[in-house]
Amino acid sequence: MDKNLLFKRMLLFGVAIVLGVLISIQYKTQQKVIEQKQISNDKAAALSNLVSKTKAQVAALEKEQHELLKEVEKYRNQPGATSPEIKQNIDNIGILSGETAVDGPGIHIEIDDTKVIQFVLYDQLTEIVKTLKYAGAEVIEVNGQRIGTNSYIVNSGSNILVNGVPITRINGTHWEVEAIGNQEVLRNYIQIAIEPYMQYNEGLKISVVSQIVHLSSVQQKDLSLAKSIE
Amino acid sequence: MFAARNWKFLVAVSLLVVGILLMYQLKTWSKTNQNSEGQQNTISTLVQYSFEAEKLQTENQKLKDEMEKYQKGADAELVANQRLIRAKQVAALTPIEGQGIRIVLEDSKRPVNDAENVNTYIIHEQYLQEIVNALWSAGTEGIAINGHRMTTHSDIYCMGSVMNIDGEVEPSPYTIEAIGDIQKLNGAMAGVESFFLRISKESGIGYKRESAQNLNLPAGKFPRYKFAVPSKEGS
Repeated sequence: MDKNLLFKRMLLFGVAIVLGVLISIQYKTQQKVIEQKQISNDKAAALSNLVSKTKAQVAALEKEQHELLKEVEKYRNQPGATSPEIKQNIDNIGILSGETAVDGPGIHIEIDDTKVIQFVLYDQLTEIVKTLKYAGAEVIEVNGQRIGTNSYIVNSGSNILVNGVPITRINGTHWEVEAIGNQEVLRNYIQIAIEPYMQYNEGLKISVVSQIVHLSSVQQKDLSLAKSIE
Repeated sequence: MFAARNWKFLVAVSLLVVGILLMYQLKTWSKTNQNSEGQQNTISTLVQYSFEAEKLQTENQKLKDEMEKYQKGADAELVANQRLIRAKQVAALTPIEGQGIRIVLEDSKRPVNDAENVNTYIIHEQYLQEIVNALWSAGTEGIAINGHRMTTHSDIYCMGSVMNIDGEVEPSPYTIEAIGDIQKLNGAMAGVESFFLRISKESGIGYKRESAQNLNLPAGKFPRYKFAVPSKEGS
């Protein structure tokens, strides 16, 4: 037989086998995808349902808190009941622990890592918080998480947790850091110490806006093992 | 001539089919990945809402407890004083005692050659920060480093071969004391200490961890606020 013809036939045979294998893989994959899609859709629906329920629960609890606060304040503010000094002390100490919601002049920092290859890393986030503290920030919040007495920023697998709450998203995160303090000083520190480094090394764009900020409170756990010795 | 052309045509068609199949396969894979990404993001959102709900539940329970005290005829002044004491405790403004763990980190005592990097032999702020973060995440109730109680405003900065802790210069060794559940604190440290054990072996950095039944931590400092004021809107 012609050697060239034999080669061609062998090649054609090879291509036919590859084609057959590929079609069979594709068929199997498709079957699996259909099955998984059904399971995945069920899961997604259940998850989405749970998110809606939890969101509604949060809204209901916020409403309940509003009502409770109104009631409690009536007792607290009875004439001669609580000295304004004690109330002020509790509120001021709460600024330190994080239990008092606060307002004040400050800055709003935004970093969007949804459109870049390199995500914001946990040590970069720690550096931002640290720089703000060094610049004299009195109160700091990261994506709604108030930095209080026992706050921490850690890596957990591919997630960055702030106060134990996962902040990162798989396809990038819109980071929002807010701080109360001297606006000019805070702004300068971020623009000099953080912005060039992050933009140059990581291509991350940071926007810093001076504004009046409102920072929410964070509930601290009561001491249970430690005994106060005062 | 025809056979050759026919053969070429068949190969071309086959390759085209292979190409289309590969493309389709790739698309299927990427779709599956997108679905799982979407689900993970939903889980992340769910965890955030759950934390928020838990926080609100705790806050509301405290308000209910306070209201119950008033309704049972408790003196508002007394309740306010109890709230003040608690506020000081959770802000780390009272000295505390209890069981916990003690970790000591120390600069290496090995002589350093000119060719070596001196940074390998000293304690850095990141080391202390890593330990402090691990301890908070394990639910510690109070931390002090070289006798400085950690509060919201505490920070640790390297200043050459010494450390600035809470505004004061501290040389090595660094003693971190944490009050809390000994088992949980030791567990959290076990997760991060492989690094410290390695540098201890390689560079002679001192690392020691021990459980302690009675630790005493001082009160933290209360700062003067110039800009932040309690919000009238509430939490």
